Amino acid sequence: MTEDIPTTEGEAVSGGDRVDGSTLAVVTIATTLVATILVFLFRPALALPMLLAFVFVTAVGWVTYQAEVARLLTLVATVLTVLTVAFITFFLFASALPAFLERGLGLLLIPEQGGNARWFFWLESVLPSDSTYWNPLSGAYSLIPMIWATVVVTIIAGAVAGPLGLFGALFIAEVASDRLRELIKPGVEILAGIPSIVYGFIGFQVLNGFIQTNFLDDGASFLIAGIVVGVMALPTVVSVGEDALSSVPQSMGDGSVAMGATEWQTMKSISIPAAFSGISAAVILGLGRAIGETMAVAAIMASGTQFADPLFDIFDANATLTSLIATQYGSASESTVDVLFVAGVMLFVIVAGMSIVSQYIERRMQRKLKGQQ
Amino acid sequence: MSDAYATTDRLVSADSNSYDRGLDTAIALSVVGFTLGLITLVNLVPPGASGSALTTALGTLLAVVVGAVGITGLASYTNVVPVTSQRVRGIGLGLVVSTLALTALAAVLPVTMATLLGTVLLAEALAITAAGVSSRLELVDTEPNMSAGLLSGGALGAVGLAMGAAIGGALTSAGSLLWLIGAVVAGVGLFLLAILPREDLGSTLPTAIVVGALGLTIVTGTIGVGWQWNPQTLSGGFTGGAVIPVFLLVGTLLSAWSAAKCRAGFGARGREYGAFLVINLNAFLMVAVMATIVVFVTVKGVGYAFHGLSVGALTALVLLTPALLAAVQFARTPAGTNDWNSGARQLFRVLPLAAVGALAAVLVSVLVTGSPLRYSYAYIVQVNRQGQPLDTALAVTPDTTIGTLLLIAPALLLAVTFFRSFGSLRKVGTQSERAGSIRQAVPTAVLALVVLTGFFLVFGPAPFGLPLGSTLGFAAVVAGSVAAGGLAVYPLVGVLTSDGPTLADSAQSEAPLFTLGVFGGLGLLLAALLLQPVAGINPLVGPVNLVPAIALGAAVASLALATLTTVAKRSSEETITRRLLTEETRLGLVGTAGFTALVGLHVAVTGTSFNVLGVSLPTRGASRGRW
Repeated sequence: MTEDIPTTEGEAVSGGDRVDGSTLAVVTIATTLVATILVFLFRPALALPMLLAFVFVTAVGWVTYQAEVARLLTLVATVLTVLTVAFITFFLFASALPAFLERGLGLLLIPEQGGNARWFFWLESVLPSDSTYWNPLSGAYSLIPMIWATVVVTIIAGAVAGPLGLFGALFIAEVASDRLRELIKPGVEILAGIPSIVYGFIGFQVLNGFIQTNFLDDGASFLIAGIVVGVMALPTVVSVGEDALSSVPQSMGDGSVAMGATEWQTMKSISIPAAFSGISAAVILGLGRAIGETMAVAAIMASGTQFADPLFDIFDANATLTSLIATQYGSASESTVDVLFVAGVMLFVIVAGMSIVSQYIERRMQRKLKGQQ
Repeated sequence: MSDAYATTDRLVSADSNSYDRGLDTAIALSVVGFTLGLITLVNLVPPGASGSALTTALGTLLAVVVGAVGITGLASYTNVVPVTSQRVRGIGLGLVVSTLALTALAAVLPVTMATLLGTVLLAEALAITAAGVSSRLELVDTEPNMSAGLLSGGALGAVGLAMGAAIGGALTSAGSLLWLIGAVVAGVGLFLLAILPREDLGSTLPTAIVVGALGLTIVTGTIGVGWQWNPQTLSGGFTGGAVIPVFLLVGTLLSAWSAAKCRAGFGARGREYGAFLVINLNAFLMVAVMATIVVFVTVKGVGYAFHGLSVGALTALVLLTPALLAAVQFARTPAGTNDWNSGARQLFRVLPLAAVGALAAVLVSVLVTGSPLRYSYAYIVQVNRQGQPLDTALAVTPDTTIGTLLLIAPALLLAVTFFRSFGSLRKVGTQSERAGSIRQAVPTAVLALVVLTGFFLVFGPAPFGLPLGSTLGFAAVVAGSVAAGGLAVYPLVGVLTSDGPTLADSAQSEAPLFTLGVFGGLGLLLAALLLQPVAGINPLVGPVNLVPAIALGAAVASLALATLTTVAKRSSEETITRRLLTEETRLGLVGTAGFTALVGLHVAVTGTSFNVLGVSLPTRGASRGRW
């Protein structure tokens, strides 16, 4: 089946003497689809009849050459998905370009305090600085405070989700009895499905009052946002980490146990090292979720644009890159929107990068484990 | 090979000594302390609580612990969840003992929660020191390694670094770097104390120092309930209300780890027990967090979600039917496995039926006596940021109105369930010539009705100005539904008039009529029913609509059929006959549920309510309330 289809296609492309029915059906369907899209774009009034024509042709083709038409339809769906994502990416970058060109390093203004640029990891000697760093009226747009806010929230979230998640993954994968595992694992996965605004709302309602009385804080803070985002990232870390630990071949652990090692020694010296890259992928994925989290952060912290002072003050509050977009786009002027797109590009690059790194790590781990089997 | 090496049981079972029991209690005390840390952290009980508030809180905890341990013990005794591990048993007993001791202390001494928690930490420190020293003096049979290992050394070193920095910072003036010296001294000191001595000392003494220091800080009031530290540079600060529970969480985690290592006799096995205990406590913490989130959202929302909800008893009863049948099905076989205690098996077997049955009985009593059930409660709504209590109630009224959807859904569910359990009656019994010809005619009739429906759907009830809907459609609906009613009654008549020697034989020989009657009747009536709205008609017989009346009659006939076959089955001895009769009973139940669903469907598609014997199926307003 898979062998003879390329040959028919080859014949069709090379103008072979026999154009068989399947090629004809596929070509007709593709043509009507393209025509439908064009008509939709340029003559929307005629789109419905054209769509009906496409459906009819597809139905006829489905009845006569099901395999070929199915291949075509899945291909079309894939191409459309990839194209959509590609267009969105392109649009994002294209929209951010004007702000990039116009402001350049001005997007990374280091805030000044008392006439001196604030310390920011020695970058203050390289980057420009100004006392006004976010003022749409005067055209000052520095993303540094938001980047730092994102970093702080992500670090707190990582401190919550990392250790708890790893121990949780170890518990589910290695310690828990079967009955307990069947109970807890779906529970954790359900937790990942709770909408983020619910977490944000709970954080705002509960943690806010708690932190204010117990930590003498006068309002929402990075600490609350970080804890909530950390709890949100927890299921991701547990779930992916557990998968990594479970994918360590049984034989490796069995070998260790056969040598007289205890279960804990097996976990410590066999399972965790073997699954280490998978576990780190889990943490990276969890952090990716923490960075990209918008609703919970926006619900907890009001949109400030000040710079945390001092840098490690976790009781300060400020918009992160995501919540900056969420809270500003409604009332933004033209130039502010461009800057928001830059924030979007930064997020896109960071999260995509983390996702790629975690996928690479996971793939490497799978290769490694296969090699040892 | 030493004696202790032989089996795990050897270490811990028959000749269980005070060392083991004491450490079990120490671990249990850590777990209790960990839980109390969580409770005080979320301010369920404030750290400053004392007197009756503290006694009440601890009494509640004691009740929960005793209840949980008691139920687990009972489950273990009846073999439902066998707990064979002596360690788990010891910890269970230790939980009760330590909670009891804490409650007694709180009742006798004038202490606050914070002081009590500090005392817990001090007691832990003493317990693990005693265990480590007695192991070092070879008073007990353990097998420690040469060193506690770099991993625990590193962990304790990190804790020491943080503690040293905090203590140094508190003792020296602001701005000086002397806190750094304190941090390094404490960190390196604890690290060396952990890795240099033999494992039994290395894994107990540093932990005891840390836990004891935390406990002393709390007990002496250095960090008390009203303590505050509000550094100028930060927007926030720290209070005793948050720091004390955090100290407790850290301290009990460390002491539990250390005590578990002692309990399993150090060495590889001790480390395993210690690590697993910590992992389990962490999992407990995670589950607690998740459960708290869910419970919190539910508790906050459930009052509003159910405010002013009232439901008719009959509706509730209809909704309960599937649960009731499931409970009956569950009660047909003993629960659990053969290992279970037989009493427990029987108990679990009838428990669901008893619960659902009691609920059903309550609903029936509401229907019979006509007095509604009301559960009144108040919930707080925020009006202009002011909490206002609103009185409302959840009520069950003696209302005999059933919403159509609430009738269709359970009836359909039951019909599908019975149909899935129904196997086949093919090639059973003898088919009369008349039944054969009817069987052939049914599909044609259904098809004709469907075609007619399609016709009216495309052209409307009065195509080309001709009132076909009210004439042809009317006739078709009447004929179809009457025929369906006839089909539904046919097997009943067939069995009763059959000349078999017994009822069972008659039912068996007339088996073809069962499938014909139930499936044919359902199909034909459904087709006739769907024709009604399309043709714009709704035939009446006297005061009631024809189709639902026939559906109700057919449901009763099917129920009679099911009853008849059940009775026949009781008098029959042969296995094969009994099996066939069971199938026929199931088929009868499919008919009952299916025809009942059609009654509801009729009301839904025609929009005309249906009343019979005081029960009404209205077109709207199934449950009244603010929904």
